[in-house]
Amino acid sequence: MRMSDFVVRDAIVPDLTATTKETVIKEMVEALRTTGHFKGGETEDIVRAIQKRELLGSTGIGRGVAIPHTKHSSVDRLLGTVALSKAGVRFDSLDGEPVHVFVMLISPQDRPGDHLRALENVSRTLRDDGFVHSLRRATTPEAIWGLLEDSDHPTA
Amino acid sequence: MNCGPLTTRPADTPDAVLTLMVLKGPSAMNGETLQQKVVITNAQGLHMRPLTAFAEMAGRFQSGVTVIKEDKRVNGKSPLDLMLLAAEQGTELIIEASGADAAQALDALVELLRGLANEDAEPPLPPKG
Repeated sequence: MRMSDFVVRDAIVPDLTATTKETVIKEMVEALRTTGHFKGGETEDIVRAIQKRELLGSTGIGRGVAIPHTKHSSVDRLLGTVALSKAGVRFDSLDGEPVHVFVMLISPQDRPGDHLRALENVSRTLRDDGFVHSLRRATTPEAIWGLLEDSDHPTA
Repeated sequence: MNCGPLTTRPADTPDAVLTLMVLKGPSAMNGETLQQKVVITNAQGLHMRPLTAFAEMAGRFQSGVTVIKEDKRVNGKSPLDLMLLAAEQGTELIIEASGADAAQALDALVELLRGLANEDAEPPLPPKG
């Protein structure tokens, strides 16, 4: 699995307007909704599920990265998007630092393996400091997509 | 560094009861390396919430913590590293702790993974409306 297999290109948000944890999640889910992968009526439910998951422990894993996620019955395949915040958002991260890079994952209910492989892929990509540096400087969805494609090395 | 009292103990003390399999004994008075094999039993695998809890717990110990899956060895104190394991249900992992509090670290981490087997993997979806 590669990051471009689940990141929805047209849902990439290069410059979030949201400045809080709650509104970042809304803005990202809304970006995914506009690509037609789930029904508008399900948006609120997905937002709530992701926010509820955050209450169990922040997905801000440090190094300026957060991976808000949920499972939801409205999707039939793993969906993801990437969003950037230039200013950084307080996300209750493990290291207390603001988050600049968000990767959102919405998984079908019954495929835990796909979810784990997506996490593996996100981790492999974001462990590369040079990649994260370039990503944070990107200003357009095209530039971000290009970086994701360049970084994608199929799992051996 | 907060050192605290150095509490070493031999691997064969009765409190090692949680240790299913000690693969290596103490290598030095203050720096033993202990390993324990565990199997991930819950249906969701080692997903983000438990692996974050694992890293946080590992970070409380002075000992280094490594998690091994086949030929992969990752830092057990780093969530990003643990994500690399993509440990699904049935995956066999070896937890390795190395340092003065290795036995305590191993006990705590194995207990944490055991708790995972009994919990719901994800919260129920919120009710509509």
